Amino acid sequence: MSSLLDLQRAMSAGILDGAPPASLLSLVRADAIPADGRVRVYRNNTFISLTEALKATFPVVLRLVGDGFFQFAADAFIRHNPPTSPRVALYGAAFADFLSAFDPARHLPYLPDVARLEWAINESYHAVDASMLDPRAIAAVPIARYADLMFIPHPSCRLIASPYPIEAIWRANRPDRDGAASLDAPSSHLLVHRYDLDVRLAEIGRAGHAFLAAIVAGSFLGRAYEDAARIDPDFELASALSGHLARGIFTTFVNPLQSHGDGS
Amino acid sequence: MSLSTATAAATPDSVPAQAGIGLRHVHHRDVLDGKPKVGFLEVHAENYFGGGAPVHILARLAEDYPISLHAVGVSLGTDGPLDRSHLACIKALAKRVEASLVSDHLSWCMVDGVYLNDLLPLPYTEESLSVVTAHVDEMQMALGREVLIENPSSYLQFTHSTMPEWEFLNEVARATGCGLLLDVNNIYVSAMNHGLDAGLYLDAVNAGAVREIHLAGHHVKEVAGTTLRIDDHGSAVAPAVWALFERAARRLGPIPTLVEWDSNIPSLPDLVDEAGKADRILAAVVKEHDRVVVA
Repeated sequence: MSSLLDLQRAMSAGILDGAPPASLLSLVRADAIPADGRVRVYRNNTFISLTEALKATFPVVLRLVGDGFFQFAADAFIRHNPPTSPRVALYGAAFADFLSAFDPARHLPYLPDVARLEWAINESYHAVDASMLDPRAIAAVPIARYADLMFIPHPSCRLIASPYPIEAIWRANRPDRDGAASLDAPSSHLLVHRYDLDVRLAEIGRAGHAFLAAIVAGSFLGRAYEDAARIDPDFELASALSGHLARGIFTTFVNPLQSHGDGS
Repeated sequence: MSLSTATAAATPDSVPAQAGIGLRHVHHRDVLDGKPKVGFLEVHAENYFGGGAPVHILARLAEDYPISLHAVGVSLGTDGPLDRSHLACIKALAKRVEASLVSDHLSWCMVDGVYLNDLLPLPYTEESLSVVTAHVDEMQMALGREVLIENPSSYLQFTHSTMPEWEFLNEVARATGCGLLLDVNNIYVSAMNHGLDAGLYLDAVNAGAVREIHLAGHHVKEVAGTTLRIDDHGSAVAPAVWALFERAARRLGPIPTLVEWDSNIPSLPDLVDEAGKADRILAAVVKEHDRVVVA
């Protein structure tokens, strides 16, 4: 082994795939405990700590599948998707996609979307701070000009759409609940955001989801309204906007068509 | 060395030579509400890089306690470039909470951009020494302050190491001017796992460079019919580690001492009790010294 870098690559590979290369083992002092037994301690520590991190971020997925299944899934996930950041609280971005392709979980079709919701909550919780737009700030803009405005979402805003009632499933599996969910709602269109220091969930409906998705993508309010109205002709721009302003999900707004000032 | 010079060398301005606790998210509310009497709070820096509740709570606690930032992800031992944005995040957090101490480990956790969330061992060679020394220099330069380096627990030794761990630590401290964070539990765990004398290790460390002590629990595991000690921060400090801490406190003088508990985390009062044991040992060391002075 020619360099420290080679050693570190060999050890990283050995930890992730469970088969440390002979070139590494030849450098490990063996006694009563063989070299691969000593490397395996590091593998165990790594997998235990990362599995604990995933359990902390996905507690409802954990409750839905049970500890044994979760560890089995986490083990496969960690091997193929090791962290790429030292911030372990942000580990698991790809866990929902992994679950949707994970054959043993196929009998729980809603599981990946529950994981998406938990990931959104986690991202929202850890998002950077930003000021909230004062709802009174748009009072100076005539309603007729709303269509020309662009709103900048708060960094904690996340949108989730699912054909399953994932909010009901999620709420029913909170630590203080018995897991029994009322599954009346056929689907979920959720806004996840932080208000003050708390992460909040709101069901915003299919049209409301299309409206915010367009805003998050950088569309003018007029375009976002059209997207929403195509789904629900009764969608009301003014009430949707005032609701979101009260929730504090925007940091500012700009009026790119206006040459002077941006209204914020 | 007299106690007064030992104290001056070992205690940065705002961290008292008392026991502190590792603050974890589950205790945020209890610490805010109860304001336990501990000398300082230490957090894993990476858990407070975002916004929202965690950093808001830490900033509030910083008004009442000295804060020590313990980084776990700089990967000082990686044979490759450090993540500059990570250093910038530590610097920004240190400024926001007016951190009294900043530390990371004599180990590596990242290679080619993959982070393994563990404190992986280095061969103690001249090559590793130049890598670690350059990275400690870079971290201290980026942060504009002294950084402490902690000895890890280890479960293997490399056959091509050319110096013992304590010599490696002393050399990094000498070359970079960094401080040392002596984890007494890690010394015990590594010494037992490798058949070394923990007391000799302790006595060989450059006392003048040590700024902080860590204490934690470990567990004992059978591997291939042999006992291996695993550092999991998941139980009370072991009696043998308390004895080693007493020896360290006598040698180093009173010094900021952290009790860490990261898995099977107890209630806050139980954690504070454990820190109280460290405080009683630190107080006894002061008294012994007073007797020596009076005599």
